[in-house]
Amino acid sequence: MHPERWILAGTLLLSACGNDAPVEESRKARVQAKSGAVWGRDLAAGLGLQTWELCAELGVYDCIDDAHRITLGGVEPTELGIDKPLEDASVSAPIAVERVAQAACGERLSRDQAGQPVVFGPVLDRNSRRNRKKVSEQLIVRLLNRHPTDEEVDGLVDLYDTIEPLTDQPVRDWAIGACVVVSTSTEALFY
Amino acid sequence: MTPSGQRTARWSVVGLACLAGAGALLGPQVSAQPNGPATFCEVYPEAPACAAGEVTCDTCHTTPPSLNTYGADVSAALVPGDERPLSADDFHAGLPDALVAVEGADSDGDGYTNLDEILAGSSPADASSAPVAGDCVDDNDEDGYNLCGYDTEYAYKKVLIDFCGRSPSLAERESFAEADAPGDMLHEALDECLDSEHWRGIRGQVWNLANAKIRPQKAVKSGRDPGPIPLADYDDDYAYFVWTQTDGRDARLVLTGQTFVSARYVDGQTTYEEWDRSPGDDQDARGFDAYQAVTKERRAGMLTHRWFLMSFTMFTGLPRTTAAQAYRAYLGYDIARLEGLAPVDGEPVDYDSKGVQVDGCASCHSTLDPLTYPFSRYEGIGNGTGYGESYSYNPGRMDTFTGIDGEAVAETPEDGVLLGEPVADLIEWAAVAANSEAFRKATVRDYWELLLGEPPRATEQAEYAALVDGFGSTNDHSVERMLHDLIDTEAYGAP
Repeated sequence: MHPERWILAGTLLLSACGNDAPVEESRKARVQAKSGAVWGRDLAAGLGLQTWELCAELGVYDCIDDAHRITLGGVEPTELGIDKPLEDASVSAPIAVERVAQAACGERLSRDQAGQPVVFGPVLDRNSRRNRKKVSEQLIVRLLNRHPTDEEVDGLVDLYDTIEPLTDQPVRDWAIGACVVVSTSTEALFY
Repeated sequence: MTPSGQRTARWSVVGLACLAGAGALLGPQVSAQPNGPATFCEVYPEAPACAAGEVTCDTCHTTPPSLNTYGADVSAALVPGDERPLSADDFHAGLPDALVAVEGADSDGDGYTNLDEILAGSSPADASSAPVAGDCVDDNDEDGYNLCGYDTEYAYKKVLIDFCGRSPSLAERESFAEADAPGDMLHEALDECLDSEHWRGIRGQVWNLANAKIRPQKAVKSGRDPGPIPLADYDDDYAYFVWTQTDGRDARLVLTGQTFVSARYVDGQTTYEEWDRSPGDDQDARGFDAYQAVTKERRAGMLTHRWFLMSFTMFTGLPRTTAAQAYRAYLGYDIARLEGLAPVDGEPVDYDSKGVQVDGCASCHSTLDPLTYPFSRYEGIGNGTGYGESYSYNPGRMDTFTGIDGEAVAETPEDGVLLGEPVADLIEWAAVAANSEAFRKATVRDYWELLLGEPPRATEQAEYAALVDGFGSTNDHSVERMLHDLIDTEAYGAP
């Protein structure tokens, strides 16, 4: 299965499982995007990685500092003349965000499989709904720095049922997919 | 008339204007304009947007001089039938009536009259900006936000993201929520984050704030990690800028300081060290490509740094680009957008025979030229006869340009006018600039936009004005102290 498909499936699923309670609107409505550097730092902290371990294009070019620097809200004044972050996100920004998140979540899973697990240990020990719930809770606590709601956890756990018939590696694809869903959520990207 | 004769009355200044507006309303020949933004606030003193005394140019303009929908309606109502361009007196006399005439209109078509929008602090030219009806309601105790006022937990998260470059951990958020004195803890967090690499390190937040002021180009960088044509080292400028903005220093030093600063990154931390050497000693220490060539008594902060003179003055006799960049970068006035026009009687004289007296040029050059003269004695890359004095102060510099710009260029005075005040030289220019309200506004606005992602809204003008006032008074021009006030504003801390 193409990874784009489970990312899309997960994103749609999570948004469909959102809280239906009325949300009060801020009068200010001033929402800012985290810069790539800040988001990357949060992502690295949540996944127990160093920022330079998150993602490298062609294995060489740091995704946040180099390859997708401008796309992710950075600047490059000395050679490109970009003194300030772009006023509007570029059309490739969502792609870059998913690219980084996918690489970072995959890296975390590989390390958890290879050694002392940090995030995905429960489902690597035993793939059960209960353990998927533990991992889902961990993802929200670690990546969003707050306690999860039951609905959020259920949404991530249920993602497995969508993915499982589509792949021969459902644990891997669910683990990375759930991680990408949380780390690319509005709450993770904006403040 | 000789250039000397033309200068006799040039100290009479008509008045500072934001004033793109009138330029568009009156036509291209406008020279001395009334202050439209101030007149607006004389008509609507109770408008939230007038808390700082003047509205911003975008009240009537898109990008000056182009008018937005509201500005176009005002323009149409301004002494209709009279021949354009209007005189300054006619504009000034007619503007209040024109503003009143369009009060009942709905220029942006959002269903609210212009008057309702002006008094509510929304934009009469933006359909997505409308008055907020009724009292604020926040019935949801579960969402974790206080939507109707300052929310310390929201502000805490924002401080860590903005200044430390990371979100607070769950443990930190819980600890903050349980704190007995969250306000104190918020300011302690700010103090800690102001020392972070994210904030003050090389290529950190403050460093990058200087990008638009320095306009670095790697191709001509000298010093460490040089480009292929090493002419000057902008690392000096970045380091100096960050140094003036940190550790409680007086930010006016950015224009008035007479020393230099170097940045060193060691063991994960950037340190800034002040230093001072004569041009000769600096050439011995750092080489021909990088040394700072202005003697101490002629230094004016970053205005006389080698990079600034190299990249903006270059080979120009009368360095208008240099002055315009200084005006834009440190005082917030972009003359290309007709901002900060303060025409001086008798100007422009056109010492360098560039034709700036013709209609359509004189309106800006009557401000720009007199604020340029004090820069004229500082060498760029080369002058009219060679490269011998590059980047230094040279009182005879203008004499070298007679073969290029004509004999009159040698009569270019060193004294000029800035913001309506006569200045004898660049040292005085820098002092007037650094002590001006324009500098305070521009400095606060830099940080406001960095932290809030946009200029102050109409409803936030009172908080912005208070920050500007405090920056120059109780906070002694310390950026860090101003930032402590900024995070206490509702603009920053209300979700």
